[in-house]
Amino acid sequence: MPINTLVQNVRATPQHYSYPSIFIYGHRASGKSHVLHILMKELELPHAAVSCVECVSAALLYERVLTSFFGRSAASFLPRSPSLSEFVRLYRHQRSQSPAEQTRYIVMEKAELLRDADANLLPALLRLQELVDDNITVILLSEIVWEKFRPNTGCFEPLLLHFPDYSKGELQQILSTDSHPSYSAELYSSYINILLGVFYSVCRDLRELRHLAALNFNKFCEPLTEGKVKETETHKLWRNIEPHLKKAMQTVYIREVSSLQWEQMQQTEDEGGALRGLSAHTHVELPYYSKFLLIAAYLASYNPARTDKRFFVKHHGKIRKTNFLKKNEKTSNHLLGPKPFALDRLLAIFYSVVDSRVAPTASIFSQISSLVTLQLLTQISHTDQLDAPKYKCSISLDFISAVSRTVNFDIVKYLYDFL
Amino acid sequence: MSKRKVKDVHLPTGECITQLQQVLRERFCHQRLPEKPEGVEAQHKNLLELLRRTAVHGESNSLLIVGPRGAGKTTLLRCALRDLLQDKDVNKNLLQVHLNGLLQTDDRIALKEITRQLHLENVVGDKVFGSFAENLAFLLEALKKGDRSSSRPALFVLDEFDLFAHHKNQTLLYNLLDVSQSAQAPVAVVGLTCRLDVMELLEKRVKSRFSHRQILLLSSLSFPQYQQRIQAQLSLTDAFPDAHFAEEWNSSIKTLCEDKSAQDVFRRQFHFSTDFRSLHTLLVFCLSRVTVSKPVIKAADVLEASRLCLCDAKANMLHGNSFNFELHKDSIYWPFSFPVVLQLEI
Repeated sequence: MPINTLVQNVRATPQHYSYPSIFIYGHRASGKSHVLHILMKELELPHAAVSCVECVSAALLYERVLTSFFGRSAASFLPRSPSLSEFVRLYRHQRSQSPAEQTRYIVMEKAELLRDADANLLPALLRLQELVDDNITVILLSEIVWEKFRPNTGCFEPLLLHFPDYSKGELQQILSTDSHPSYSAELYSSYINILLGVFYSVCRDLRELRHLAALNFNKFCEPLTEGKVKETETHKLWRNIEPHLKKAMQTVYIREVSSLQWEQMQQTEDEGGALRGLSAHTHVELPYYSKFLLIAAYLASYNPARTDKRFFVKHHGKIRKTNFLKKNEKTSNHLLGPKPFALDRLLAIFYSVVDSRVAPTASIFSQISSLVTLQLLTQISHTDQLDAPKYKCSISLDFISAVSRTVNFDIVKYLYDFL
Repeated sequence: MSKRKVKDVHLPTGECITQLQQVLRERFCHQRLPEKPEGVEAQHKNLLELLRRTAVHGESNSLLIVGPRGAGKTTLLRCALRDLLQDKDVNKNLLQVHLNGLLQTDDRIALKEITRQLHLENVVGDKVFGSFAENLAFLLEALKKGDRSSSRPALFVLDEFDLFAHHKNQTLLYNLLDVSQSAQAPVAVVGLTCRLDVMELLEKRVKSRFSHRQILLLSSLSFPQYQQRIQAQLSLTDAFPDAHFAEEWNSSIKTLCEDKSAQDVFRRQFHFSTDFRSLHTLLVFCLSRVTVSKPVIKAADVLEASRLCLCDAKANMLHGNSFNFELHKDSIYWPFSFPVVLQLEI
């Protein structure tokens, strides 16, 4: 356990030297800052807590450090825009007046922002103990691994400690601690159990899970407050909450609506209502020919070129089931993802799909560009190549089925995978 | 008689452990200078001789100490300085200026720092100088001894020398090396750098003024020598107050170094890097497991420490990601793209 190593290093001998720099990395909400702050507070170690998000300029950092260790008067000696040289000189001067009796710590959060500061700041901080000749240790906390921090010509390598993410059992334990006052702890922990069962595979972030738990708890307790179900009948509660959790899955991490709006939506909806996704795509309205262009693009992406003749030419011959069928038997085109197609092919399919005669005017071509802007199509070729651009269709089957339904076009009939 | 008394001193175990931690931590974390330089005797002699020529005989010199990170450049220089300053005359006369490429990022800042370290702020006062060379000449003039016949010898130590080569026009380097070539004052310029190609970075005029003297610190240890050095690093010297405890500790270290699994760990470390800085990381982990209830380092500690040091950071972070890719059994032909898998998962 990395915490043990940290504690042993820090607690045992405060007046002895500690390793000049320690780098702690781990996922978001894995307890890095929390553990460190508790440690500093409980053991009453002299430390300077610095958040690199706040200290946008190095001067703020120097001021913070000097104030924490030597008081506000020391920081006032810093000149207008201090360089690292001046900071070190000032620190040495202060240190000669009040040397460290025990190890001083500088705890820097969001340390990845140090990479964007001056190139000399990070290497200097890593060997600060040597530069100022004092018993000081710099602790860097970050979500990014150390390999991405290392400068080109190398630097003083810190001690690397990893804070592992919480396991499912640990998450259950932690989440169950903030239980609602009016309900029993067992009810809440069974609720957390259900929640984790649904969300653990997509989200392990503690903060996000706490947000979800708080958001959906009222819905969970609805049958209890209405008196329909007793506390012990967890099966009925599970059946009630399950569809709502599945719907909430689409909003994990994405705050498309605020929490208040979400709760209101929960209340106004009736029990057996259709699960409408919050995704913006279902509300896109396209002009008539754009829809056909989109359909043609989807067909071009997901049908192999060989089969075009069969689908779109009026009198086709028999399609020969050659070896290529055996190779692609296992994987359908839908699982392989969209394939790129040339503009000519798109237009050929478009003309055969559209029922009326369409003149190849500029407005048709500009609609293709608009589809690219809407991110429904993706342009593969370089923007410089004007004569043979290639595109790829980036929408899902559900979306295209919805679109083709609005123009009374049966897309499934034209897809090779559904033959 | 008194020596015998010292030998019989027995401290309680807690006190012993504290003393032990202090000694070893100073060695590993604070890079305490060794009594004698190990493995670099020739380089040490060379450097000492050069510095003595400047300090005592008034000869100007320039030198570069080149070696990869953690090779012991700073340690070598500090040892040489310590031995040099044992001479009282030298101690009185020699002026030292320590500059670091990380701190003094600009020639202007460097000049201010030189002024400060030579304690000449009052002398310079508010004077405005036309050029860098004038300023430096003024400073060196001010260092002349009382009878104005000769200047005091000055030693300029430039840490991270390659960073000074990135300054505009390399003014500082040019002027310092110029002074060391001309007969103005006895000046020794010692640069320390980790870049082996540092000479390519220097401008032509700077390179021509440099004496091209280089001390290379490229370690050529064999594995048995490496092991011996590890044992020496972990052992306690005679200066330890409780001799009995020191003996026990040293014998436990000897047993540890003969243990097979610990040897494997050290061999792996040796193949990875022969410098002692990365070894110190490993040893600090081992040391942090030494407590009053367990006052020895066991092979298991070494294995655990090695595991901590050599763990793959990216694999650790990947473990915390929430996508479990259940690979198909014939996954070598698995051409699925990431968005497709995303849809499959949810």
